[in-house]
Amino acid sequence: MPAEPSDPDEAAREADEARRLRAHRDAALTPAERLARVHELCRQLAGIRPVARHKR
Amino acid sequence: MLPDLAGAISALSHAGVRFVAIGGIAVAAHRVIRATEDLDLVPDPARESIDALANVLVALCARLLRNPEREVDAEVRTALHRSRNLTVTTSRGDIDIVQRLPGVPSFAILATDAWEATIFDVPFLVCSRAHLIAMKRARGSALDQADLERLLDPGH
Repeated sequence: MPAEPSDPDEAAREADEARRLRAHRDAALTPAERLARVHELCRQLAGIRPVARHKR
Repeated sequence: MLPDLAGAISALSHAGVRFVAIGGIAVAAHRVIRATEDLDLVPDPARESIDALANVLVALCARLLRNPEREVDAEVRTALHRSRNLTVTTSRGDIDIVQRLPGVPSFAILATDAWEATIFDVPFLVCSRAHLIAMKRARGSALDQADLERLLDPGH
């Protein structure tokens, strides 16, 4: 990790790289594991409730 | 290991980290559910909040996604204070810390019209639907495009 801030284009490339790395890591899962993961993630996401506009 | 989104958000909130959630979590808060593996957040750049964020990452055994051997060390803390982005794998799942990315507004702007949400009763802030749509338009990946169509669908 370089010490200095990246330019916006580099930041976008880093974000894309992170997405690729995550996809590569998750490719090691079996179809059953992947399905269980998606099921659990959707269960958690369904637990999100919008409340109200934030008052600063 | 399955991500524990509520656990990650709870750890951050209880440590006093101020942030606005973007990405898939924010999409879900706006009633468009799709699988997401990580917590994308824009942190308050104030020194104490970034320090608290780094402390939580250490407590959650964070490792850099790009280099799993690497912990949140002094250099990584410095990078966070210098507004760098950071993607880490933690004991509660992946966390993407976004501080500068084309199309992503600053914390100050996002917090102005953020919405309060809860995940299993844990409160947190999510970016407004308008900002989420603008970010999706700016990024323009296939996933962003799919999110955009559903966010713009009046049925959602």
